[in-house]
Amino acid sequence: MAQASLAVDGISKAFGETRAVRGLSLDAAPGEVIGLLGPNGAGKTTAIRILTTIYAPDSGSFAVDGIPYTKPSAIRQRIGVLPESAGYPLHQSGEEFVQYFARLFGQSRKSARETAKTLLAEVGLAERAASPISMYSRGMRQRLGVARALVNRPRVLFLDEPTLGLDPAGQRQILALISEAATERGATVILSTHFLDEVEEVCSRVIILNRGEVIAEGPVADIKRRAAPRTARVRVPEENHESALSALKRAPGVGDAQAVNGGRGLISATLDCPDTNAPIRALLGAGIPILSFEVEGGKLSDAFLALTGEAGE
Amino acid sequence: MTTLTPDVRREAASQLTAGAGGSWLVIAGQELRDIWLSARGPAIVIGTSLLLSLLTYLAASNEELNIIDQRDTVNLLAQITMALAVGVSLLFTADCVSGERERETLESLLVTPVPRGQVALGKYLAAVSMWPVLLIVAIPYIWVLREGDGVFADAMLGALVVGTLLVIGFVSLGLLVSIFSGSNRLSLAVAFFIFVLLLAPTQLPLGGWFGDLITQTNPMTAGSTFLHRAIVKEHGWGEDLDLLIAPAVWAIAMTGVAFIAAGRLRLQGSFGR
Amino acid sequence: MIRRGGLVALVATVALFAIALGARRHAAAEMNGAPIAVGELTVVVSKSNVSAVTGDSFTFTSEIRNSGSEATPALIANLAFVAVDGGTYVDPEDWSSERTQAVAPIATGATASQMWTVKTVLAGDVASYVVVLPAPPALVANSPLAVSPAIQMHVEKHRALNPGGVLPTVLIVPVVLVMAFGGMRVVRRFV
Repeated sequence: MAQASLAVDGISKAFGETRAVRGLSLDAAPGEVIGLLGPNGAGKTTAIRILTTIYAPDSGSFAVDGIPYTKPSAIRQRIGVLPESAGYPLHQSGEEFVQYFARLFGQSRKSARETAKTLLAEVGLAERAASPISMYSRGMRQRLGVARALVNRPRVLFLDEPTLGLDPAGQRQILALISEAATERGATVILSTHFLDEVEEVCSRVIILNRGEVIAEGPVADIKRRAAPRTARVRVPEENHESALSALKRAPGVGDAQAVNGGRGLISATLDCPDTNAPIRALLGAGIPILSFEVEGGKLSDAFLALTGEAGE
Repeated sequence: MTTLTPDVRREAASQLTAGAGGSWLVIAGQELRDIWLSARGPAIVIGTSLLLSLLTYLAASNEELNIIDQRDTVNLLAQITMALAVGVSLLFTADCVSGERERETLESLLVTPVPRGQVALGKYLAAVSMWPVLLIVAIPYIWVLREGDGVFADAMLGALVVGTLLVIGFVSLGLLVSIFSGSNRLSLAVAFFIFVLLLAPTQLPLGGWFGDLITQTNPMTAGSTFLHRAIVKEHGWGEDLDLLIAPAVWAIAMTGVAFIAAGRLRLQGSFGR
Repeated sequence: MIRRGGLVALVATVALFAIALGARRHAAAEMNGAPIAVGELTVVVSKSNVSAVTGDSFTFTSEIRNSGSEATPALIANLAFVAVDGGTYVDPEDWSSERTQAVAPIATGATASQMWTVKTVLAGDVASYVVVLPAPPALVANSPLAVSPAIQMHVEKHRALNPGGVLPTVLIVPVVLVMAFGGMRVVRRFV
């Protein structure tokens, strides 16, 4: 089995009385994109800062590409980071900025120049490479930050809220870069975000934190199924209410079926399988006409709300 | 997908061992560009030259009227150049870490493989660069005021030795304060306060045993007194070497403490968050 | 006989009086340790009126003549300045760098000369004079002084545009720096 590019075992961190991260564990393989979700103050940024060697863990351990956390300098050579509040030197050009970081990772002047040109082209900033960063929009600066994070061809890429403040088009661009980093570069991506849509779009797995603890972890579909099962709401003619209810209770792939509002033709049935048409087939098979049919729930946002009990985006 | 050509493999290998040797040079180079290619450094140098021009003109007028002696004039210019260089260099380093914290550019630097000590060294060297530039700017003014090569040589050599020791010490102080300050405002305030505290006695008449103690132990008064005696009193260098002890100890001690502290460079400062 | 005796007595009295006077002087001098000769000194200066502008300098000589019957002790000649217009602040060391000169004892009937340099540093009306007094140990609390007539100086204000030849430097250096840094920025923009 391939070595995990990121192996985390029970890391914890407290700041005074506040326990920011408690017992976080995860393994990530190359090419995986893992979403790190949680409400404000859940510990996402602290977790990322521990894994990027900014903070030392109070307990637990982790390894990046097999390198233990006790060798932070070696770990930093293998990771790329886009911090949540990343500032930029406004007087530098985008090209100078990326070149500088390439040189900090040991590249020669010539190599750094090539790297900067290539990466800025990949993130769509080739035409503005020579402009000062002060003239970049927020979206451009985030793309610049992604370019900077990729400068050392990292094994693990940590992105903390990379799409914050961006318009939908800007978000799309960043998500495309994230996917490309995982699929084409084979990097493991740890994506911390509030935007549940983008987690569903690019992440193979998600970890949900709340008050420093992991409250859910696994593939996105599993979490949605466990925390926010889908429900079908069916309206049938009142005279068919009872027969519809029994048909649905018998149907495979349908969980519990119940009358809604005292049984005047409105029935709610939980779906146990991905097939949303199971209730329809059951009712049509029983010769019961369907007046309306809709599926609710099953969204990550629903799962998130259910798990954290707070408003998410 | 990137093809693993020999060049790519070589580059990848170099990256895996990156950050060890010359990173301080890369950082120093960038910081020097930030100082000298932006408006900051040039503005200070031009401002200093305007100040020295004004002082030189006034001093020459007064000298012509015999109100001030020529050696006193040269001493005044040398002392002012030194004090300006020390103050400016100190404020540059006081901003170098705490300023990056506030501008939120420090975290990106800390996640590179550059050792913390090399980050500090690079910034330190850039801040020290102000001193030789200001000293060179002072040369034509001191040259035009001198009435003999003896005073020029005394002034330049004295300023070089004393100024270098003081700048090294104060730049290290600025670095130390910046590493631990949680905010840039606090860092600049503390650094400036200490500078003024040590500079003030040079402007006061110091007498008695306490005055002698201050003169000997305060690096600014010791250095200033050494320079005054070398230029105005025409003392030989061997006569007042004891006055160089305080600046030398200041330079060595502060540099040592600052670079030990550099290993503790963190994302957040320890005080005044 | 009586007339002759009276004449002798008169002469003797005068002689005795002179001797007594001389003895008293000697006695007094011996009491203070040195002969008093300053009272017979006259001091003259070679200038009386000077019109100048600020920054000018001039020299003059003073002459000390000993009209007394004995040589003087060693003397001190001092150059003093006083503002006569009431408004000018006079700091003597600004006007002359050497204001005190030692004078060797002057023999009877002899003179001693001193050269003085004065720099007119401020505008206004200033008088200058030379004071002569005995040098210690002859100097005592009530030693009389000899003073020259005053030299009346009237100084008009004059500002040199290029004092000490520094004007080119103070103008050129900032201009060169501005051009150098400005040039760097221009080159960077186009490279």
